[in-house]
Amino acid sequence: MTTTTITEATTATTAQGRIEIQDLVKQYGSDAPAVAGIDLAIESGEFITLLGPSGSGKTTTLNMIAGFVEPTSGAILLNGNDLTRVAPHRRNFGMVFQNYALFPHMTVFDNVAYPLRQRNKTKAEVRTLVLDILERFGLGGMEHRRPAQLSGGQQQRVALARALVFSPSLVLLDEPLGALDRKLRQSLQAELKSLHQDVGLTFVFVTHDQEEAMFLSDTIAVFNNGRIDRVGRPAELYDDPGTLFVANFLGEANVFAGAWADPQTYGWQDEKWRAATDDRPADAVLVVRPERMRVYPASDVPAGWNSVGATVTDVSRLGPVSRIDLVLPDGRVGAAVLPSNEAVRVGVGDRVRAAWEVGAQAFVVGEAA
Amino acid sequence: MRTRPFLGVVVWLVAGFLTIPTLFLIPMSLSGGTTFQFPPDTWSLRWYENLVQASEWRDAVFVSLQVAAFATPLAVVIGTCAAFGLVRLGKRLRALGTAAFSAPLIVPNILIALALYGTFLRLGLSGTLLGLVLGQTALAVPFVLIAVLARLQGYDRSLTTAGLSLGATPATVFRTVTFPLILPGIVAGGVFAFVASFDELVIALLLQGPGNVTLPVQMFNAVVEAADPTISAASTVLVVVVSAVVLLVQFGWMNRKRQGAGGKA
Repeated sequence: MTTTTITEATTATTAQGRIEIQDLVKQYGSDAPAVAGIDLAIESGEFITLLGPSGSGKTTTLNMIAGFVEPTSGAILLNGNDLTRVAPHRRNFGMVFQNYALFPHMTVFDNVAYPLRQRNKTKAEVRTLVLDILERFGLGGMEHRRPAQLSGGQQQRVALARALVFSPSLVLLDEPLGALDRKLRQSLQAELKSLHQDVGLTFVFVTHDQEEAMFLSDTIAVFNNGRIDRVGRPAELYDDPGTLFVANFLGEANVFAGAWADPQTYGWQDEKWRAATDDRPADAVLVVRPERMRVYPASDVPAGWNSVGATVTDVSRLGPVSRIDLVLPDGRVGAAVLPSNEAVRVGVGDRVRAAWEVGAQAFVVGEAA
Repeated sequence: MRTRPFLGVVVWLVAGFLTIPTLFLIPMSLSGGTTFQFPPDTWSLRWYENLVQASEWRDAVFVSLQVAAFATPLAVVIGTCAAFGLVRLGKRLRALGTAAFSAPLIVPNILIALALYGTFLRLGLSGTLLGLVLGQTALAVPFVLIAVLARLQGYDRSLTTAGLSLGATPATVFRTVTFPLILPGIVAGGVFAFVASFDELVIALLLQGPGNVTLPVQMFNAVVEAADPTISAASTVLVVVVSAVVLLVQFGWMNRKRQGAGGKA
């Protein structure tokens, strides 16, 4: 009975995986809600990352999509059908876990065959599908090994193969690269990205690593305190973060919390800065990314640029670029990242102007808003 | 690993201290005389013959096997279910529940036996096989509970989650993932339960009646009444049966482990 519904669902929804989340809330006891009312639309075939610090509600949201956590209120729809009360084993979603969750008592073959056997595939079908996907994932010839006999990266691939082999309508990934070292992580990121392009399934990925999110995703949803702060394409969120939280969480930012002097002038301390007419949140905070910041002697600031006085506290050469750490007039720290050949003129202790083009600045809503 | 000769010596000394007295039984049971002798003057199998032919001994062996055969599966089921329940409770409740279920290990057996005796007398269970089975089950449950609980606490719950996400029903996940992974705990618990029941004396002594005298009770009665070397033969049988069960499981298990890398210990 159960298996028939799954098989039908598989054939009916293989290509489609559109998710709609409507006013989703999860409250544990009388504490502040873990997820405080989120709305999100995930297009079929999209790679979306739920990004946020720990405790921001991203994993709880993923578990509600998977069906392991029951929402307090709200709804989750798959291709327009309400999933909220559907048991996890009937959702037909592939899931990859942070610790892989491979069955230690089964061989690689049996692990990957597991979802197919639940769907009453014939022995021959199971064999073909499993061996095919293992070959494709570079695991050919390892089907008789146990998970404990594989390296971390290989285990991760088995977990992915197991989550994809039954053509799920959605793939959920809960920090699947979190346990790997940096180099392996990077190569698996690249594999994951091209895998997503190959299979064309909807991927929902959870991570707290903003670089990973930027590299992999079509769309990023930034979680903060149980809410989604912003949703957008990675470049869009980076260049125009919208909130101070996103500006700080997604990369680094020089932050200037001042006030509007007039519609085209933003004042901070003693400085007056030009602004384009269309950046106008009321309680705006100005942010500049370190790589858009340049450092000049006071007299050399290019005409039309905004600038601020600063003292250089450190110059670190990182290879092709160098990082200049600054102390700003309000005592807070800032940073500029410039090509190393430009940075040679700057020394520790120099009094300089940190300057940027008007187009490089962004206005965001402050933390309290 | 570094070898530690001193450790080896201590291990063998302790092992010898624990087992050598038992080993004296075997030659004594093979004595041809009617008294306990070590070493015996003459050798014979007459006491083993007596064990099989004398109806009180033969019946006692049969009763012991029967009681263990009922008490072991009963203890395994109760102990395993209890472990599953306890592992889902909060830390404090779990500790409390584990302590309650383990009480038979801590409370002196004679107290349990007296309490059972009083209760079973009223219920008409005293002197019956059922009463004996129930009493020994209570005693055996903690062995199963502790072994299964240890295994369950090492069980990664995300394996269950993974099974569900792959389309298996909760029952199928239990059958194909959870159960095989905790099976070693259940088997170990079952062996201890069997042994605990098979050689239990105090409860069996108080609950004895016609037709439910277990081997240890028969041995006790024999010592009190008229000691002859049949008791050595019976003891030897007891030791051999218990050791055989433990060793079989131990070695069978190790072989299985060697075949596959196996689960987490």
